[in-house]
Amino acid sequence: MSLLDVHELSVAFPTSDGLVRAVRGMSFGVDAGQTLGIVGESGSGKSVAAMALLGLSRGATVSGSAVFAGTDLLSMAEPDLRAVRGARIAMVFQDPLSSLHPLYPIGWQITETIRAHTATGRRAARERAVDLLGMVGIAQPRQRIDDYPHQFSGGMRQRVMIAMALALNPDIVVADEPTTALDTTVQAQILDLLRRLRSELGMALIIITHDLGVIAQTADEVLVMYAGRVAESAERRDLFYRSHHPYTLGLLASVPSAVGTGRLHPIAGQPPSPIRLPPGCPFAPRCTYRMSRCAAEEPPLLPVAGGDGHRSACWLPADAVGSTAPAQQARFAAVRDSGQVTT
Amino acid sequence: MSATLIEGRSSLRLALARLRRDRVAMVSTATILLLVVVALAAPLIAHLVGHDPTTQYRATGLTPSGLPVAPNRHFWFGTDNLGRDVFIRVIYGTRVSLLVGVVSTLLAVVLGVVVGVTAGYWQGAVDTILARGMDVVLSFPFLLFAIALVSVAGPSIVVSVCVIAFFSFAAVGRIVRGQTLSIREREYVEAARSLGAGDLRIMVVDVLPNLVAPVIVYTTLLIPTAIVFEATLSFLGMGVVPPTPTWGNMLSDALQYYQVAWWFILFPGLALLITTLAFNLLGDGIRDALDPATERLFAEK
Amino acid sequence: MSADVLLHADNVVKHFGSARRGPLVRAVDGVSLTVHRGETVGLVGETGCGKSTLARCLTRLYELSSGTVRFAGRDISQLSRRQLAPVRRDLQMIFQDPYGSLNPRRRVGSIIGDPFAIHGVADGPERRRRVQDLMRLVGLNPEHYNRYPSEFSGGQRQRIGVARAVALHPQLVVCDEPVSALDVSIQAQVINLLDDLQHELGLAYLFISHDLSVVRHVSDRVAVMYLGQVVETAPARQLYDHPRHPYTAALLSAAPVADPDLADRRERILITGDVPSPVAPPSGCRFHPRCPKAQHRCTAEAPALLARDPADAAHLTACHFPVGDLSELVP
Repeated sequence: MSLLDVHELSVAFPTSDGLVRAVRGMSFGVDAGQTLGIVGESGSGKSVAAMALLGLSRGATVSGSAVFAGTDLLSMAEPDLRAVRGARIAMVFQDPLSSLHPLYPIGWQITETIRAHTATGRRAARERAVDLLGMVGIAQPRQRIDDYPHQFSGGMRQRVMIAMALALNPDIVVADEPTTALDTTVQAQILDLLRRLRSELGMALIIITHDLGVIAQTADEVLVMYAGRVAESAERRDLFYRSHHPYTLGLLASVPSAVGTGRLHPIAGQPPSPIRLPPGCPFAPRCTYRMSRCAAEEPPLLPVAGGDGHRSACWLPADAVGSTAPAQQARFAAVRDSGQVTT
Repeated sequence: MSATLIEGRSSLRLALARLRRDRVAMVSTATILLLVVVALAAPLIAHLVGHDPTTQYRATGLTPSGLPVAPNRHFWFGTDNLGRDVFIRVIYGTRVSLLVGVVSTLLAVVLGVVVGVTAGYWQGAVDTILARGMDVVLSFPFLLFAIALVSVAGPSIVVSVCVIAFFSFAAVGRIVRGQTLSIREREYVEAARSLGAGDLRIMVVDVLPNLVAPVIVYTTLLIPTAIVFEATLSFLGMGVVPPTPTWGNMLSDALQYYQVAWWFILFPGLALLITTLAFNLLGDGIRDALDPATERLFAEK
Repeated sequence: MSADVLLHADNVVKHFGSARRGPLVRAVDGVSLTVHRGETVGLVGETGCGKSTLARCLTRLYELSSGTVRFAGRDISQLSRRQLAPVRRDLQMIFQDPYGSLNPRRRVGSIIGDPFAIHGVADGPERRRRVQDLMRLVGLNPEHYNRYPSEFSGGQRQRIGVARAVALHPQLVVCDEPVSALDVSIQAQVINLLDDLQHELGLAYLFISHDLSVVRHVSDRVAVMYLGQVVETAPARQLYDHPRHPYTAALLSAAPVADPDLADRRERILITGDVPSPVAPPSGCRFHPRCPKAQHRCTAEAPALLARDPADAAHLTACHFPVGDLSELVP
């Protein structure tokens, strides 16, 4: 039984240029103690989906269901949702400088969160805050608890954000690009911290990022998003070594490898506009293995060979996974059979 | 694909489209255009109505006891204390107001932009001198100094224009200086410098186009201020010389007669109000239309 | 000096602020660097290491506090603006922010035509033709000559920046984080473009980035900066396979790689603390407060950038106790 079960989540924004369909029918589940990585480029809808789950997308039309501990988050009233936010599902944002209030000491911000959700006394809440700061690796927490956000460096601020997120022992922590704004060495520290905390506290972690390297390091399960839908969903090693969806393959071929220095193979073209999506598969215009079926019918998430739960929204044969020669042959054969000419 | 070049749609053009959708702004624009037409056609209108602005129609324009006549078939807005046609005088007043308002504003803006860009771009000693200079001008008590200057130079349209321009340029200059300071730090200015562009080229080609939007807004909002300034000067007898009608001097004369001739004070006042309101609303509309926050989110491919 | 050397920076120093008015920001504190014709030198480092400041010093966008920069055999450190103008034809820059490096109020054709206009190279229809050729060269549609930057995507804007930089066929292009603001798939397109242009036009690059994988991919040689100084420089392959400075080793082990097995397998060298500020750098070796191998000598004596292994003259390290094996650094 999943901790969080999202089914056909869709988020759309009306704008003066047309309806922006940021998320179109996204389904996934998160189990307790698991780390789910959601990876996608800008415009893929990954952040929008996370915000919508917690009712944080103002002005948007949200449909679908997100069942958490028996109730559907998407049909909850605001007061009930507020009780969930922070206490059971916590969020860590990308830029701690803008997510922390600049005029209040961080200790106060943490204790406020605690006292807003529980009937904890001021002193007890402060003690808990000191504990949390120590847990996330802030040296001399008792002295630093009354400092202001600007007195901390970027990495420390992110640690404070994580402390705030953990304050009420949430079941799920959603981290939206938690390390993008940080330096490489600090990034490693934060990821390490998240991993350690997750194994110590047993909560589920959803990491949203555009960085495949972060995913390779931290996720158990991965969702690859493209144009508002899940393109591929797989266990970590399956995704990297036995990828099925051409977008995933394309992404992996675009990233400079740690070992070779061969020429990069970028994906031609650009992501589609969320207002004017082409019919059929949204990746078809850029796909090397485009078949005639692809422009007509958008493929649902279909099971593919390999691990349990490995699924890909693609019409290519289910056993064509990875970049091995047989897999390539299978792909080109499928394209040939469909009568389409490969690019 | 055609061989002709595809026209670009700048943000200014998008702003124009947005402005056209703004009803209040469109009504204001129509009003202003109407005022311009009226001002230009003033002699024609006078000819059609049969009255002129300075003639005193003592027989038909004054009551037996010598008081102004209320609005009627012959005098649509009534007459003033000397029997002159208020309607025609208000129309001729439009000429002065618009002329002085617009010309002095344009002068102020040109001066303000030159001073502001120079101060903001060069910084250092040049900036200190110019900025302090503008601060000094801004801290003058406008009216007192205007009165003093006019007393020395004698009242006339030219003096009015110069006085108003001088006291308005600093406000524009301050804003332009601020904008220039921030534009100067943008990466595209750095890029221009790395290409070897000289300072003058950067100021003209890179800085100025980015000032167009705020300058347009400020100009539109400065015009009504200038118009009211002119009205104030004429009200105090420091503006245009009588018998040339301006709304300001008409209001000044009308003060003593408001109990017996409500039309005398109402119509010039209304004209002034409508004009300044129209410019202010248009200025607001332009500012909203140029607001970058409502820039298009997703470009077409 | 060999005729092959295009750019030679010697002990470049750039300080901001004045000692009288408060703390001095020692952004670049004695950097020496060489770029040869046709090669790509990568420059990596984290925030505050001074790489962007160094780039601007080398292109004379900033005035040097001290030190010299020689370009094509000529000392350009003290040249006046007018004397620099011809140099700028051969020494160009590409900027990081595709949204900020193009003037939003100017048409793209005009932006790319700037170098021609500024240096009086071509005018009118001739300029237009050359700009359109450039647009084609970088993969843009020449019919979009009259469009504004806001009508292009991030990757396309970066291409515009590239077109502008290579317009006059420079000899050296300094690229300051040219792909950092782009999505992964677009990054690859721009990297390939830079690669193609290098072959076609014989360009040399100084490629600055915080992204280690990208730098490894594009560079022939790599220099690592920390707190205003170069701590290690070596041929790319060598630096990544056998880093000798503890900071380089830590940086490499911290960089995320899109390969789960490699990520699991490699040595995790976590250094503690944050990147320090260039206002008050530590004494001696600047890395010593965070270095797992630091000893007393490191706090007192700043190590020079030297070839520490006589067998390998191209690999320079600024460390008293260079790393032999990575396991030395894992606690």
